[in-house]
Amino acid sequence: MSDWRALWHEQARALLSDRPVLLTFFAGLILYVFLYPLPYLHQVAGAQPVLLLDQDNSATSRQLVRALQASPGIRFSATEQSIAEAQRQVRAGDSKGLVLIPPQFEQQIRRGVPATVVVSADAHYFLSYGTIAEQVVQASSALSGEIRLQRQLQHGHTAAAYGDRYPGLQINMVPASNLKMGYLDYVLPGLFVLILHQVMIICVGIATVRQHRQSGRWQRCRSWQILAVQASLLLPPFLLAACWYLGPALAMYQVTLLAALPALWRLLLPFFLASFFLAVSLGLLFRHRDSLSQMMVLVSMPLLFTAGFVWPVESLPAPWLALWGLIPSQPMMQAMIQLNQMAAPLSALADLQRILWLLTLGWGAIALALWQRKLASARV
Amino acid sequence: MWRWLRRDPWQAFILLLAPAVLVAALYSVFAARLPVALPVGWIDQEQIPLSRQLGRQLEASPVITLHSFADEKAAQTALATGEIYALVQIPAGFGAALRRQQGATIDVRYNGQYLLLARRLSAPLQQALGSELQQQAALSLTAQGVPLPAQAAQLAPIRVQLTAENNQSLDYAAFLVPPLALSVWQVLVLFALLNLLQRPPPGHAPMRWLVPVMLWMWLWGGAGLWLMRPLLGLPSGAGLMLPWLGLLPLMVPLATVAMLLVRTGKEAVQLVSTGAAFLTPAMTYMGVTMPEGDMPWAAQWWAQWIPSSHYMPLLQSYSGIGTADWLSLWPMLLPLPVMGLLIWRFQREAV
Repeated sequence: MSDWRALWHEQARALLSDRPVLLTFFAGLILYVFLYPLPYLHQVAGAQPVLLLDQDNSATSRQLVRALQASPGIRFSATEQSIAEAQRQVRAGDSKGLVLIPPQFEQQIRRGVPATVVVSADAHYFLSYGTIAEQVVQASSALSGEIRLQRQLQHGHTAAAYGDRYPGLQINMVPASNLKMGYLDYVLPGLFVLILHQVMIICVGIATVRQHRQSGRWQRCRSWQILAVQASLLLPPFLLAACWYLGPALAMYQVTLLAALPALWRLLLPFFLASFFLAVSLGLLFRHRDSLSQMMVLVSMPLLFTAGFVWPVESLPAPWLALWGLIPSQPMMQAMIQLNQMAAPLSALADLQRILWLLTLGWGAIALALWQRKLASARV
Repeated sequence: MWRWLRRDPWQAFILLLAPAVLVAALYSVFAARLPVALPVGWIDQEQIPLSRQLGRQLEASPVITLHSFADEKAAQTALATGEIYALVQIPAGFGAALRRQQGATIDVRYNGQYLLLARRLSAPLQQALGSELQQQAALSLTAQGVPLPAQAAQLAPIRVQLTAENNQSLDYAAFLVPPLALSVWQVLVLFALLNLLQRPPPGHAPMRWLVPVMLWMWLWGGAGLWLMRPLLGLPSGAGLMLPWLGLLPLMVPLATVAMLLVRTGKEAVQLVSTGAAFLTPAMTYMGVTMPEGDMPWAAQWWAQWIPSSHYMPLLQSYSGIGTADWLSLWPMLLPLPVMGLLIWRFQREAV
């Protein structure tokens, strides 16, 4: 027992004087909580600069232009006469899109022939492309509705025969989650889980490299004792960090928090244990602390894009799916989003919970075996 | 050189394999180019010919795979657990309401939490349902005596013709892989230089290898551009030489940061953490996922310090029209005097 206590004191002192671990933990967590969400603080794309080519110059075309100008997603940055020049500006990225109202636009409407508005947008940027398309469709629909109403009145109809686009039918299309359709709600819950995962693996991993590269009391202990000491020292700070990251920090960005805390922690507990064991295993495989740290930085982006919320899991190649089940961040990001953002019941997440516990067992066994091997080689 | 890389396998990985492995891994994620066959839930509480026809219309879209649910609760749970990305519900009494012109509603719920996928599904869902409903509406208008030639204009007096410039098929790989590859490349340049300065080849001063390592990483940049030609969609006649040359000035601030970090004398792992904090969020600051003009001023200011934020708009412009103002990268050369001074200090210490 005294060995155990002595090891704990020795490792606690070493950890408190390990500046890279402290810097990564405090500075990393504090910096990333501001740096990543900063570009998305406005949640949605605002008024996009669009070129106007009104070749009809009629009362109806001006009515459409006014409707577009009133849209929150479009700002006419200039008027242009030449289609080729306008197209060049969009392709060059000088303007995000163009709206072309062709000649005889009004005449066609009066003759009862469908009139066409041409919209072209820069698809290098999906968000601004979607915003421009949506706003033009909405403004055109509003004007279409007015035209139908005018015709209805002209024909002396009082019934809604001409009023609806699909008489008597409506498509009620609304989001079931992320009601704002905002970027912060979309990105942050998954991203914050990934940041906790990466920072934890770096901190625990580099602390493990330091420990096994230096001689100390650990060489006289059993592998499970070493792991228990590491867990008692390194897990609590991350559990506390999660209380802040996945609660008040998300709330600060007005991200929806629907999960009950006990349900969330039933997932977070195996997640942190599995991440801890993975970090120890990696720490025991690396010789240089900076190499481990670099590896974790480099795998961040593939991990984010294979988590299943940016790109569907169904479209991932098979090797990625296999890897998905081996890294604790992947099931936890999905679990966090489903529980917290989509209000899934905990019972529906049993599979993800099972994966996290299996990862805890698997990585735990590997960490124990690797410590055992280190002890054996240290005693030779 | 070979001895150095054998002694430092991690640096060997960074220099010889990491650029190819990481960019190939990122490309493999988006290799499908467009998400297809996305699972969509379907509850038909009416079971009439029209509702079945609507189901067939949805099934015919390549983006949608329909999953039928008999139970509303099971469908809601599937939606909440991401098993399906949207749920279409034909309510009971839909047919009767339609016949009586009383106004029936088709409810579509989609998972806004999967934002890009929700946007991807929105248009095909509306198109599939809309085209069938438009036929019904035309029948209804015929019954009310509206002549056939007038029906099209009555249903949609104004049509919108939408064209995507630069990325005509709205290809996700073309949208995301070039900026991701750029941000991976600049992180690798920084790491390769940090490793060189921290653990130089045995018996050599690190400055002797600074330029060769930078040139090697520049070659990797060129290889990346060459391999990404299909994603960049360059206009005919636009070569890769200018974008490749454009990568050179980006290396000046990266090398300066690496040398400044090493001058602080901190432990290598601490330098990696500091460098990573500066460069890992680069992708979010490039203006690709959120237009730069829509970022808060603080984000726009921070973006100015990240080399990739200057390069990406030029590459986009070049892939659009075959020209770009590459000379506007000149501020990247501003740290040159500091870089020169640092090289001189390193060399003097080596002597």
